[in-house]
Amino acid sequence: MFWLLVNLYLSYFKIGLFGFGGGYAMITLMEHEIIKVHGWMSLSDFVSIIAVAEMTPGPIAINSATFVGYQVGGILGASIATLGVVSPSLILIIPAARLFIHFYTNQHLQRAMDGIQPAVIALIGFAAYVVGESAFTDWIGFLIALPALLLILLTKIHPLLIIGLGALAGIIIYL
Amino acid sequence: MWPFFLLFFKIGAFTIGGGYAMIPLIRTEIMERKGWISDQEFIDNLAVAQSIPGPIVVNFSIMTGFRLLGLKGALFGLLGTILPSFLIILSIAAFLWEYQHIPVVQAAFKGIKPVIVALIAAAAFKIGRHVFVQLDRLLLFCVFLSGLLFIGLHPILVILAGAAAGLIRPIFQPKSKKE
Repeated sequence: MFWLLVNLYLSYFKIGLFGFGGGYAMITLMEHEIIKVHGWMSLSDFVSIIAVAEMTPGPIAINSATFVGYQVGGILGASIATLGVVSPSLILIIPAARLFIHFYTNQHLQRAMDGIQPAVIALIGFAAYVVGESAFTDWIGFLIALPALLLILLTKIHPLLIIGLGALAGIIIYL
Repeated sequence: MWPFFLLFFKIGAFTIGGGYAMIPLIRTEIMERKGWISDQEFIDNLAVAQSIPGPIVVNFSIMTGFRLLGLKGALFGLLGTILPSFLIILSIAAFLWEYQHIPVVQAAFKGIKPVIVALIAAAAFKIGRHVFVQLDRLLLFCVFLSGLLFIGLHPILVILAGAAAGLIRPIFQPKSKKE
Protein backbone atom coordinates (compact mmCIF):
# COMPACT_ATOMS: atom_id res chain seq x y z
CA MET A 1 0.00 0.00 0.00
CA PHE A 2 2.85 2.38 0.87
CA TRP A 3 4.53 1.97 -2.50
CA LEU A 4 1.21 2.19 -4.28
CA LEU A 5 0.68 5.61 -2.70
CA VAL A 6 4.24 6.68 -3.53
CA ASN A 7 3.71 5.67 -7.15
CA LEU A 8 0.36 7.44 -7.23
CA TYR A 9 1.97 10.63 -5.95
CA LEU A 10 4.87 10.40 -8.41
CA SER A 11 2.56 9.68 -11.36
CA TYR A 12 0.37 12.69 -10.64
CA PHE A 13 3.43 14.84 -9.92
CA LYS A 14 4.65 14.00 -13.43
CA ILE A 15 1.23 14.75 -14.89
CA GLY A 16 1.25 18.16 -13.16
CA LEU A 17 4.86 18.89 -14.09
CA PHE A 18 4.31 18.34 -17.79
CA GLY A 19 0.69 19.44 -17.82
CA PHE A 20 0.92 22.40 -20.16
CA GLY A 21 -2.16 23.69 -21.91
CA GLY A 22 -4.93 22.72 -19.50
CA GLY A 23 -6.88 19.63 -18.58
CA TYR A 24 -7.48 18.05 -21.98
CA ALA A 25 -3.78 17.75 -22.80
CA MET A 26 -3.33 16.15 -19.38
CA ILE A 27 -5.74 13.34 -20.36
CA THR A 28 -3.01 11.94 -22.61
CA LEU A 29 -0.45 12.14 -19.80
CA MET A 30 -2.90 10.50 -17.40
CA GLU A 31 -3.76 7.71 -19.81
CA HIS A 32 -0.07 6.98 -20.23
CA GLU A 33 0.64 6.83 -16.50
CA ILE A 34 -2.56 5.23 -15.24
CA ILE A 35 -3.34 2.72 -17.95
CA LYS A 36 -0.17 2.04 -19.93
CA VAL A 37 2.45 2.23 -17.16
CA HIS A 38 0.58 1.11 -14.04
CA GLY A 39 -2.59 -0.58 -15.32
CA TRP A 40 -4.56 0.85 -12.42
CA MET A 41 -7.85 0.75 -14.30
CA SER A 42 -9.51 -0.13 -17.61
CA LEU A 43 -9.77 2.37 -20.44
CA SER A 44 -13.56 2.24 -20.19
CA ASP A 45 -13.52 3.18 -16.48
CA PHE A 46 -10.96 5.90 -17.11
CA VAL A 47 -13.12 7.43 -19.85
CA SER A 48 -16.19 7.28 -17.58
CA ILE A 49 -14.19 9.18 -14.97
CA ILE A 50 -13.22 11.80 -17.54
CA ALA A 51 -16.92 12.11 -18.41
CA VAL A 52 -17.83 12.65 -14.75
CA ALA A 53 -14.97 15.16 -14.38
CA GLU A 54 -16.42 17.04 -17.32
CA MET A 55 -19.90 17.16 -15.76
CA THR A 56 -18.87 18.31 -12.29
CA PRO A 57 -17.55 21.72 -11.19
CA GLY A 58 -13.88 22.51 -11.03
CA PRO A 59 -10.68 21.88 -12.97
CA ILE A 60 -10.71 18.58 -14.89
CA ALA A 61 -7.19 17.68 -13.76
CA ILE A 62 -8.22 17.95 -10.10
CA ASN A 63 -11.48 16.06 -10.63
CA SER A 64 -9.82 13.15 -12.37
CA ALA A 65 -6.89 13.03 -9.93
CA THR A 66 -9.34 12.78 -7.03
CA PHE A 67 -11.46 10.14 -8.76
CA VAL A 68 -8.60 7.96 -10.01
CA GLY A 69 -6.83 8.33 -6.65
CA TYR A 70 -9.97 7.16 -4.85
CA GLN A 71 -10.36 4.15 -7.14
CA VAL A 72 -6.75 3.16 -6.60
CA GLY A 73 -6.31 3.91 -2.90
CA GLY A 74 -9.46 5.20 -1.18
CA ILE A 75 -9.64 8.60 0.50
CA LEU A 76 -5.90 8.59 1.17
CA GLY A 77 -5.26 7.80 -2.50
CA ALA A 78 -7.55 10.64 -3.58
CA SER A 79 -5.70 13.10 -1.32
CA ILE A 80 -2.26 11.90 -2.44
CA ALA A 81 -3.10 12.07 -6.17
CA THR A 82 -4.62 15.54 -5.85
CA LEU A 83 -1.63 16.73 -3.84
CA GLY A 84 0.65 15.23 -6.48
CA VAL A 85 -0.95 17.02 -9.39
CA VAL A 86 -0.80 20.46 -7.68
CA SER A 87 2.69 20.05 -6.15
CA PRO A 88 4.60 21.25 -9.25
CA SER A 89 2.38 24.35 -9.37
CA LEU A 90 3.13 25.13 -5.71
CA ILE A 91 6.86 24.63 -6.22
CA LEU A 92 7.10 26.59 -9.47
CA ILE A 93 4.80 29.53 -8.69
CA ILE A 94 6.90 31.10 -5.94
CA PRO A 95 10.05 31.55 -8.08
CA ALA A 96 7.82 32.50 -11.02
CA ALA A 97 6.13 35.20 -8.91
CA ARG A 98 9.49 36.55 -7.76
CA LEU A 99 11.06 36.70 -11.19
CA PHE A 100 7.82 37.35 -12.75
CA ILE A 101 8.01 40.29 -15.15
CA HIS A 102 11.27 39.00 -16.62
CA PHE A 103 9.82 35.55 -16.54
CA TYR A 104 7.03 35.68 -19.03
CA THR A 105 8.51 38.32 -21.29
CA ASN A 106 11.73 36.29 -21.50
CA GLN A 107 12.53 35.59 -25.13
CA HIS A 108 13.68 32.01 -24.67
CA LEU A 109 10.64 31.16 -22.59
CA GLN A 110 8.36 32.65 -25.23
CA ARG A 111 10.05 30.58 -27.92
CA ALA A 112 9.81 27.38 -25.91
CA MET A 113 6.12 28.07 -25.26
CA ASP A 114 5.60 28.67 -28.98
CA GLY A 115 6.98 25.20 -29.67
CA ILE A 116 5.01 23.62 -26.84
CA GLN A 117 1.72 24.84 -28.34
CA PRO A 118 1.68 22.42 -31.31
CA ALA A 119 2.77 19.67 -28.90
CA VAL A 120 -0.17 20.48 -26.62
CA ILE A 121 -2.62 20.33 -29.52
CA ALA A 122 -1.15 16.96 -30.56
CA LEU A 123 -1.70 15.72 -26.98
CA ILE A 124 -5.29 16.97 -27.07
CA GLY A 125 -5.82 15.30 -30.45
CA PHE A 126 -4.47 12.06 -29.05
CA ALA A 127 -6.74 12.42 -26.01
CA ALA A 128 -9.72 12.57 -28.39
CA TYR A 129 -8.46 9.37 -30.02
CA VAL A 130 -8.01 7.58 -26.69
CA VAL A 131 -11.44 8.58 -25.40
CA GLY A 132 -12.86 7.70 -28.84
CA GLU A 133 -11.50 4.17 -28.57
CA SER A 134 -13.81 3.61 -25.64
CA ALA A 135 -16.67 5.83 -26.84
CA PHE A 136 -17.13 4.50 -30.37
CA THR A 137 -18.25 0.94 -29.80
CA ASP A 138 -20.50 1.15 -32.86
CA TRP A 139 -21.43 3.59 -35.62
CA ILE A 140 -24.14 5.20 -33.46
CA GLY A 141 -21.37 6.80 -31.43
CA PHE A 142 -20.29 8.78 -34.46
CA LEU A 143 -23.89 9.83 -35.08
CA ILE A 144 -23.89 11.37 -31.61
CA ALA A 145 -20.38 12.86 -31.76
CA LEU A 146 -20.74 14.64 -35.09
CA PRO A 147 -23.80 16.81 -34.31
CA ALA A 148 -22.33 17.40 -30.83
CA LEU A 149 -19.11 18.70 -32.41
CA LEU A 150 -21.05 21.04 -34.68
CA LEU A 151 -23.14 22.33 -31.76
CA ILE A 152 -20.02 23.01 -29.71
CA LEU A 153 -18.15 24.75 -32.51
CA LEU A 154 -20.99 26.71 -34.08
CA THR A 155 -23.34 27.61 -31.22
CA LYS A 156 -23.00 29.01 -27.72
CA ILE A 157 -25.03 26.24 -26.08
CA HIS A 158 -23.53 25.30 -22.70
CA PRO A 159 -21.49 22.07 -22.94
CA LEU A 160 -23.41 20.62 -20.00
CA LEU A 161 -26.63 20.82 -22.00
CA ILE A 162 -25.01 19.04 -24.94
CA ILE A 163 -23.77 16.33 -22.56
CA GLY A 164 -27.35 16.08 -21.28
CA LEU A 165 -28.64 15.61 -24.83
CA GLY A 166 -26.00 12.89 -25.33
CA ALA A 167 -27.21 11.11 -22.18
CA LEU A 168 -30.79 11.33 -23.42
CA ALA A 169 -29.82 9.95 -26.84
CA GLY A 170 -27.94 7.12 -25.11
CA ILE A 171 -30.95 6.19 -22.98
CA ILE A 172 -33.33 6.28 -25.96
CA ILE A 173 -31.02 4.24 -28.22
CA TYR A 174 -29.42 1.72 -25.88
CA LEU A 175 -31.92 1.07 -23.11
CA MET B 1 -7.67 35.35 4.47
CA TRP B 2 -11.12 33.81 4.77
CA PRO B 3 -12.89 36.07 2.24
CA PHE B 4 -10.15 35.15 -0.20
CA PHE B 5 -10.59 31.44 0.46
CA LEU B 6 -14.39 31.65 0.28
CA LEU B 7 -14.32 33.50 -3.01
CA PHE B 8 -12.26 30.81 -4.71
CA PHE B 9 -14.32 28.11 -3.00
CA LYS B 10 -17.57 29.60 -4.27
CA ILE B 11 -16.32 29.88 -7.84
CA GLY B 12 -14.79 26.41 -7.68
CA ALA B 13 -18.05 24.92 -6.48
CA PHE B 14 -20.29 26.36 -9.16
CA THR B 15 -18.30 26.51 -12.39
CA ILE B 16 -18.78 23.55 -14.69
CA GLY B 17 -16.65 23.19 -17.79
CA GLY B 18 -13.10 22.97 -16.53
CA GLY B 19 -10.75 25.33 -14.78
CA TYR B 20 -10.50 27.78 -17.61
CA ALA B 21 -14.19 28.60 -17.33
CA MET B 22 -13.49 29.84 -13.79
CA ILE B 23 -11.09 32.58 -14.90
CA PRO B 24 -13.65 35.17 -16.12
CA LEU B 25 -15.67 34.74 -12.91
CA ILE B 26 -12.58 35.19 -10.76
CA ARG B 27 -11.75 38.31 -12.76
CA THR B 28 -15.19 39.83 -12.12
CA GLU B 29 -15.04 39.08 -8.40
CA ILE B 30 -11.50 40.02 -7.39
CA MET B 31 -10.91 42.80 -9.86
CA GLU B 32 -14.19 44.52 -10.57
CA ARG B 33 -16.19 43.87 -7.41
CA LYS B 34 -13.59 43.65 -4.65
CA GLY B 35 -10.79 45.62 -6.30
CA TRP B 36 -8.11 43.39 -4.77
CA ILE B 37 -5.94 43.47 -7.86
CA SER B 38 -5.55 45.80 -10.82
CA ASP B 39 -6.16 45.05 -14.46
CA GLN B 40 -2.43 44.81 -15.16
CA GLU B 41 -1.88 42.47 -12.20
CA PHE B 42 -4.65 40.25 -13.47
CA ILE B 43 -3.07 40.05 -16.93
CA ASP B 44 0.38 39.38 -15.43
CA ASN B 45 -0.89 36.65 -13.11
CA LEU B 46 -2.76 34.94 -15.92
CA ALA B 47 0.27 35.08 -18.23
CA VAL B 48 2.46 33.45 -15.60
CA ALA B 49 -0.24 30.87 -14.79
CA GLN B 50 -0.27 29.88 -18.44
CA SER B 51 3.50 29.75 -18.86
CA ILE B 52 4.11 27.20 -16.14
CA PRO B 53 2.76 23.65 -16.19
CA GLY B 54 -0.22 22.51 -14.12
CA PRO B 55 -3.94 23.32 -14.08
CA ILE B 56 -4.19 26.97 -15.16
CA VAL B 57 -6.76 28.07 -12.60
CA VAL B 58 -4.76 26.39 -9.82
CA ASN B 59 -1.65 28.26 -10.92
CA PHE B 60 -3.63 31.46 -11.12
CA SER B 61 -5.12 31.23 -7.63
CA ILE B 62 -1.78 30.27 -6.04
CA MET B 63 -0.11 33.16 -7.85
CA THR B 64 -2.77 35.70 -6.89
CA GLY B 65 -2.84 34.49 -3.28
CA PHE B 66 0.94 34.66 -3.04
CA ARG B 67 1.15 38.18 -4.38
CA LEU B 68 -1.65 39.44 -2.14
CA LEU B 69 -0.97 37.64 1.13
CA GLY B 70 2.29 35.70 0.80
CA LEU B 71 2.71 32.00 1.38
CA LYS B 72 -0.48 31.67 3.45
CA GLY B 73 -2.41 33.34 0.65
CA ALA B 74 -0.97 30.88 -1.85
CA LEU B 75 -2.15 27.93 0.26
CA PHE B 76 -5.59 29.41 0.91
CA GLY B 77 -6.03 30.20 -2.79
CA LEU B 78 -5.05 26.66 -3.68
CA LEU B 79 -7.35 25.07 -1.11
CA GLY B 80 -10.27 27.29 -2.07
CA THR B 81 -9.89 26.30 -5.70
CA ILE B 82 -9.47 22.55 -5.32
CA LEU B 83 -11.52 21.73 -2.22
CA PRO B 84 -14.97 21.93 -3.89
CA SER B 85 -13.90 19.60 -6.72
CA PHE B 86 -12.20 17.28 -4.28
CA LEU B 87 -15.26 16.99 -2.02
CA ILE B 88 -17.77 16.66 -4.85
CA ILE B 89 -15.74 13.97 -6.64
CA LEU B 90 -15.09 12.13 -3.41
CA SER B 91 -18.82 11.95 -2.69
CA ILE B 92 -19.54 10.71 -6.21
CA ALA B 93 -16.76 8.11 -6.05
CA ALA B 94 -17.82 6.91 -2.61
CA PHE B 95 -21.61 6.97 -2.85
CA LEU B 96 -22.80 7.17 -6.44
CA TRP B 97 -20.26 5.20 -8.44
CA GLU B 98 -21.77 1.85 -7.45
CA TYR B 99 -24.86 2.80 -9.46
CA GLN B 100 -22.91 3.05 -12.71
CA HIS B 101 -23.75 -0.55 -13.61
CA ILE B 102 -27.50 0.07 -13.64
CA PRO B 103 -28.68 -0.28 -17.28
CA VAL B 104 -30.09 3.24 -17.54
CA VAL B 105 -26.83 4.78 -16.29
CA GLN B 106 -24.81 2.61 -18.65
CA ALA B 107 -26.99 3.64 -21.58
CA ALA B 108 -26.62 7.31 -20.62
CA PHE B 109 -22.82 6.93 -20.45
CA LYS B 110 -22.81 5.33 -23.91
CA GLY B 111 -24.45 8.51 -25.17
CA ILE B 112 -22.26 10.85 -23.10
CA LYS B 113 -18.88 9.44 -24.12
CA PRO B 114 -19.14 10.46 -27.80
CA VAL B 115 -20.01 14.00 -26.64
CA ILE B 116 -16.85 14.03 -24.53
CA VAL B 117 -14.85 13.07 -27.65
CA ALA B 118 -16.54 15.98 -29.45
CA LEU B 119 -15.66 18.38 -26.61
CA ILE B 120 -12.01 17.35 -26.67
CA ALA B 121 -11.80 17.50 -30.47
CA ALA B 122 -13.46 20.94 -30.40
CA ALA B 123 -10.83 22.15 -27.92
CA ALA B 124 -8.03 20.96 -30.23
CA PHE B 125 -9.76 22.69 -33.12
CA LYS B 126 -10.29 25.97 -31.25
CA ILE B 127 -6.67 26.24 -30.09
CA GLY B 128 -5.37 24.98 -33.42
CA ARG B 129 -7.17 27.69 -35.35
CA HIS B 130 -4.87 30.31 -33.79
CA VAL B 131 -1.71 28.24 -33.80
CA PHE B 132 -1.82 26.80 -37.30
CA VAL B 133 -1.71 30.12 -39.08
CA GLN B 134 2.00 29.32 -39.34
CA LEU B 135 2.78 26.32 -41.47
CA ASP B 136 5.79 25.09 -39.49
CA ARG B 137 3.61 24.72 -36.40
CA LEU B 138 1.07 22.68 -38.32
CA LEU B 139 3.90 20.45 -39.54
CA LEU B 140 5.19 20.05 -35.99
CA PHE B 141 1.69 19.11 -34.83
CA CYS B 142 1.39 16.44 -37.56
CA VAL B 143 4.76 14.95 -36.60
CA PHE B 144 3.84 14.86 -32.89
CA LEU B 145 0.37 13.40 -33.43
CA SER B 146 1.72 10.70 -35.77
CA GLY B 147 4.40 9.89 -33.21
CA LEU B 148 1.77 9.46 -30.49
CA LEU B 149 -0.58 7.43 -32.70
CA PHE B 150 1.79 5.18 -34.61
CA ILE B 151 4.97 4.68 -32.59
CA GLY B 152 3.57 5.23 -29.12
CA LEU B 153 5.77 8.22 -28.37
CA HIS B 154 5.91 9.15 -24.68
CA PRO B 155 3.72 12.24 -24.10
CA ILE B 156 6.41 13.89 -21.95
CA LEU B 157 8.84 13.48 -24.84
CA VAL B 158 6.37 15.30 -27.09
CA ILE B 159 6.28 18.28 -24.70
CA LEU B 160 10.08 18.36 -24.44
CA ALA B 161 10.50 18.06 -28.22
CA GLY B 162 8.04 20.93 -28.67
CA ALA B 163 10.02 23.16 -26.30
CA ALA B 164 13.28 22.21 -28.06
CA ALA B 165 11.80 22.90 -31.49
CA GLY B 166 10.62 26.31 -30.29
CA LEU B 167 14.08 27.16 -28.93
CA ILE B 168 16.04 26.16 -32.03
CA ARG B 169 13.53 27.68 -34.44
CA PRO B 170 15.28 31.10 -34.73
CA ILE B 171 18.41 29.36 -36.04
CA PHE B 172 16.55 28.46 -39.19
CA GLN B 173 14.86 31.79 -39.65
CA PRO B 174 17.53 34.25 -40.91
CA LYS B 175 18.32 32.07 -43.94
CA SER B 176 14.76 31.74 -45.19
CA LYS B 177 12.37 34.51 -44.22
CA LYS B 178 9.42 32.67 -45.74
CA GLU B 179 8.40 29.47 -44.00
